[in-house]
Amino acid sequence: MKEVLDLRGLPPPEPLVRTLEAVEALPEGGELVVLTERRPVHLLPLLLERGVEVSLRELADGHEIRIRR
Amino acid sequence: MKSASAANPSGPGPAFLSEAPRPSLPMAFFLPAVVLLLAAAFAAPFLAVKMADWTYQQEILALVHTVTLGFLLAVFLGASVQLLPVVAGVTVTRTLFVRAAAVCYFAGTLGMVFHFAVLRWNGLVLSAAAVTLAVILFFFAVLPVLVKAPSGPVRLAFVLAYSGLALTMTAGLLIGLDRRHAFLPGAPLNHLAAHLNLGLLTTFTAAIWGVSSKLLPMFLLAPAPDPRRQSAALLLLFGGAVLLAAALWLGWPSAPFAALPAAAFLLQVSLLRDLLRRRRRGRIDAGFRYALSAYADLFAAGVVGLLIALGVGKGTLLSLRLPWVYGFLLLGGWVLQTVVGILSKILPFLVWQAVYARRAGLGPLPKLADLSSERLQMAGFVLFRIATVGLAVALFRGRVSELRVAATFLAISLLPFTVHVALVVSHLTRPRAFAASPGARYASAH
Repeated sequence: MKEVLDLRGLPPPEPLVRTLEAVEALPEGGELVVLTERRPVHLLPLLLERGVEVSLRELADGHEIRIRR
Repeated sequence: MKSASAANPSGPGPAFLSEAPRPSLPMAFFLPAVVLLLAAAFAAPFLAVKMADWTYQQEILALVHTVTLGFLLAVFLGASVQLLPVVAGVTVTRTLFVRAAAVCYFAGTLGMVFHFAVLRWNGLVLSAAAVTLAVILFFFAVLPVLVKAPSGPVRLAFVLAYSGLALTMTAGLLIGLDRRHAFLPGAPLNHLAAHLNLGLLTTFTAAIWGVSSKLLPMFLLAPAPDPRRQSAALLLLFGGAVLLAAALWLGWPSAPFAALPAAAFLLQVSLLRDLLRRRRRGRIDAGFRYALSAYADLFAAGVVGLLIALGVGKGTLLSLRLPWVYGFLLLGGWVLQTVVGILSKILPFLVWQAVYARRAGLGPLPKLADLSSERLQMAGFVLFRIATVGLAVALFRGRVSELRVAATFLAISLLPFTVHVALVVSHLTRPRAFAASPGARYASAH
């Protein structure tokens, strides 16, 4: 199951908080797609600490983060 | 469209920090800086008699360097190690050099202030050499990060500000050595005016415009300024300020050389106007109010600077007062006000990131606004705004009693800012526990 979270238009640190909240709710084998306006530079170390797989894609109007548990 | 895997941070283009940023690095600069700002602010009323006289006196130089080196440059160096890794997606790894730079920097700054106050040139040059060594150590630490930052206005601003800093420090060292060996051509007062303008325009203004072009869109939810126009404003400012400083140094008429920085200012204001019009967040908080209202002081400083350059009031008392007003509007009204605002804004974010980010999603968290009080900050902004206008007027009038009152009021107006800093920093040692409440949102920037 894939959940999409569009966090564009939110000021920092809201995207970080909402992403990590969603990651905590992500079931084993689940996938989360997060759309952010700015490069999520502070998020990676925190995602890696939580043992999820992450990939990033730059979009024309922001960034797409794919997170798999 | 580019893509990168988090497991491979060396993917195409900088994307992520490989590890959480260390708050202790910027804090090593920010905290002593606030202490030195307060010290300078509360020392100023005791110098009211000096302020009623001419500008370049030893005590005044000590006071000005406490603010410029002790606070402004220290905050810029701290902000560099906070912001550059975010821009570049690369962590500062040479942390030992940053910490050594901070120690050497503040030791050198205190030495300079002391030796200005007692007017000992040998000690002053040695202390300035310590500050220079600190800045070299700092450059060595941040250079790998700066190199990896994507090209654009923010990187350009940092490159220009660092270049401006190198020029300003070289000019300062030459002026100090010249006092011992008198080898520089031209008048010493012209050299001092050039040094002041180099520092305030090429270093601090370039840095402020660069940092603002990153922070304002981020927090006000506005599109980033057009990179070409932002870069043009920075290059016009830097080139113009260097030419202006050269003209001042050599004793040439400086008015024609002020045209480039003036054009840069107009371009910057138009970028700012676009950004504010297109922002999606209506409310402007206290930190940005400091920073935005300071443009009025920069404009006023430009007008006063032009009057000085045109020789208005030459041979009269006015020629003694206008340089005071110009220097204060540029230093206190523009740079100091902006830096206080920016620090008010980035410090809570830094502390929140360090203390609470790791807990996000695991339980209730304080909001950014919970780290301090917005009312307190707004009160600080209003008081500081009144105080800067009051001191500028008092400096123009040149009466000791008014100067003493205005300088005291300015010092008091900085107390809310200091309390704000103390409240925010207290979370580093005493993180707050927040009880969960049904339906409560975990965090917000508002």
